[in-house]
Amino acid sequence: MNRYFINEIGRTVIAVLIALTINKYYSLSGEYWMILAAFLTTLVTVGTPVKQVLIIILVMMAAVIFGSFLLYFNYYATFIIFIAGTLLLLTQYLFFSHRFMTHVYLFLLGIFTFTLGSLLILYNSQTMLGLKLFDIAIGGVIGVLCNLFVFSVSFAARFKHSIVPFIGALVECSHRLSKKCTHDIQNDLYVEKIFVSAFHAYPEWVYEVGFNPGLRSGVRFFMIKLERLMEAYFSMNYFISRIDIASYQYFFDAYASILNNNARLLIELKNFFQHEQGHYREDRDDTIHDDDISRRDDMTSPDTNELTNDIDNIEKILQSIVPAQMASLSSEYATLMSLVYDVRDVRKVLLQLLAALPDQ
Amino acid sequence: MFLQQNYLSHTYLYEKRLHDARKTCMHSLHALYANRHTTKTKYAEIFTKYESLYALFLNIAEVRDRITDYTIFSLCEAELAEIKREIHHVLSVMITHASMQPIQYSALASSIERFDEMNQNILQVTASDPNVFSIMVNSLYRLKDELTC
Repeated sequence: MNRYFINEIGRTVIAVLIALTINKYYSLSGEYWMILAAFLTTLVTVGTPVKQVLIIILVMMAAVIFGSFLLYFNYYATFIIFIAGTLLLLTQYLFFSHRFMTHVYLFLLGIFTFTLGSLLILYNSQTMLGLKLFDIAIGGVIGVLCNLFVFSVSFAARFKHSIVPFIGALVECSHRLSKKCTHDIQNDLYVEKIFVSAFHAYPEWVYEVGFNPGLRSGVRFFMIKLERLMEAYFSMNYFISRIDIASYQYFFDAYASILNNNARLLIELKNFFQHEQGHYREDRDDTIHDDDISRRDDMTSPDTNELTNDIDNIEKILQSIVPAQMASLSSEYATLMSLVYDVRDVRKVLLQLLAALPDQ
Repeated sequence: MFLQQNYLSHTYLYEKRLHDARKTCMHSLHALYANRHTTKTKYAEIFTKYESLYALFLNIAEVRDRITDYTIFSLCEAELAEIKREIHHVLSVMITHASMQPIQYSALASSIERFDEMNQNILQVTASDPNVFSIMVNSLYRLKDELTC
């Protein structure tokens, strides 16, 4: 259990305790809707304190309204609980697993809940439906406040902390593949073994619904690019394992050198995040923003050009091995070309990521 | 991925799904890796095959970043859809029947050959970087070989 997980448990416990206390003295319906709402709203993912809470509250309200609607027609209570619970689970699944990308669905859910609630309050006021909804809203407010102020961890700091093991895995892959190219290691390289442990801390929550809109595109861009690097390393490992390295030793010597250079760039990236941990300030100069990302294709600085010389060199070596028009005819040549494209893509992505980092 | 019409406008959605699928595959591979020395079952063989298939799928998926103009996929949409269908069919049969009956690979081979022809005749002329499709065809043939052996 890491400290983030303990923080989350602590936050949920405190929210439930606060809700229990308030519910005991100030509950309007005399039921436990406030506690349930406070509990559910503290289970949101990192960086999404408001939007996910809003969805949970609306879904809960819709389920309660639907249950009251069935009660109005005197159905069995267990049947009503079953239907309302199913509605709750189904709607939560649709919103959180299917990840609707537009706000339209949220507004539709809000309008649906409001309309249904208004109709039932007008025609069925004796059921205390309005009071139940009010309790749910109070529970939601408790949940939001606890998410914001109890054991709160900056999600940017947490992102940086979570990303370091993954970059470390990429560095290790680069070094091992380089050694494989120069025959320093003969046995197979199990890339997935290196990445599986790094995936435990992987910040998947940046993909979730309602993640901080200010940092969303920058952080998600970063994640996608890092996973793109992982794909390239899997691909490289496969093709290097299935080609006779000795037959193209000159090519693979140059290839190993590129892999080592890529490892150096990855270490630079890793160092940035390691040094940033614990020193995060939530201001414009210290985070990855859209403006930084928009500069990612601007790779014309002299340093950047120097960093592409080795790639140009291996492309020339490849052309000397095989003319371009022959590449599609031979599997072995296509394999070499695939290796060059992989390593070129890795370099391109690394330069984009390094260019997107704020100046230290 | 590149057959999805709205991939570019919903990149994060598809990348999240891809991430989930990758993670599942990697955990399965890791479980196979941990049991590869078990003598009762052919874990080592299954592991090698599964790892190769996974790497090849990732290699093929790299096309989505190498191609900047997605309209090129409209030219080969039918061929790619057919390959997708055949791979899905072969994998489904492999999972459900598990060596109880021989799997027919001829349809998959034909669909890859049709895509290869399309590549030679059209994509090599129209694509901004024709090598990307040559690499993809090579990976598809390798994928077929890995599935067959």
